[in-house]
Amino acid sequence: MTTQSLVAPRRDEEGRNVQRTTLAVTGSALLGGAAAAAADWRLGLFATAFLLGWTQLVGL
Amino acid sequence: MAGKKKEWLTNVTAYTAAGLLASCLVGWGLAALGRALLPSGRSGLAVVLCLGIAALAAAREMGWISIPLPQRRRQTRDLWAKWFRSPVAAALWGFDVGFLFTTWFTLAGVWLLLAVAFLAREPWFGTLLFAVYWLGRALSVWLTPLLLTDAASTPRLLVAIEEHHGFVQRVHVLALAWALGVLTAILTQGARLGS
Repeated sequence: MTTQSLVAPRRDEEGRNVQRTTLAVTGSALLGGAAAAAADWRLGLFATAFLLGWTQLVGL
Repeated sequence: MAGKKKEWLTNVTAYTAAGLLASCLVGWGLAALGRALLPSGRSGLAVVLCLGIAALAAAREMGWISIPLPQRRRQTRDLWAKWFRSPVAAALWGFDVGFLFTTWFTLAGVWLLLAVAFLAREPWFGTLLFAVYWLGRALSVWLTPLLLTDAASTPRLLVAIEEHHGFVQRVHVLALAWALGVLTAILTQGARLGS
């Protein structure tokens, strides 16, 4: 068993964690954004702000 | 172990609080600048401008157009970890990254937020918009323990995030598409972006 074969599955798992968490955050933000937009359209932009912030994780 | 957790919590709190302060200052400053410089009663034009910026940013991230991203090509300074105690270094990183203009943007959508805050001309709205932006940005740090498979896998996680750049970028585009929908609704329903 090589170091590569030990590392790759864990990296795959972490990649799946990133995807799952991003999907959960996205769904929550859009639901929250829709609720906020119902009160005031401008507040719907907060969902965009939150997701634009979250997606900066690729720049960590 | 409990000491490590407490240290981590202190550092992440310092990072979040300092970044929140910096981001709020940016949002407030842009809106105050907009209020000082822009004429009132042009809300429709402001929304159209924001729609254009959102569309351009989305097209850029989809790879349909190639436009340079005006930004400072700089990362925050990891040397601060050697010069200062860890909560101070974390706070400095938070403030630096939260200030936006001093480090890489990475993706284009942040230009939409800058434009919305400036054109809305309402300091409370600009401040809240950038507070929410920062909370989204800092959340990835708070959730890091959920993303890691073990305590020593941070470097591997960074590689995994980089490998999923395309996926995260599509979520970024989705956020911009959402903004396009909201801005269109504001325009068609006669609502206002700002004062």
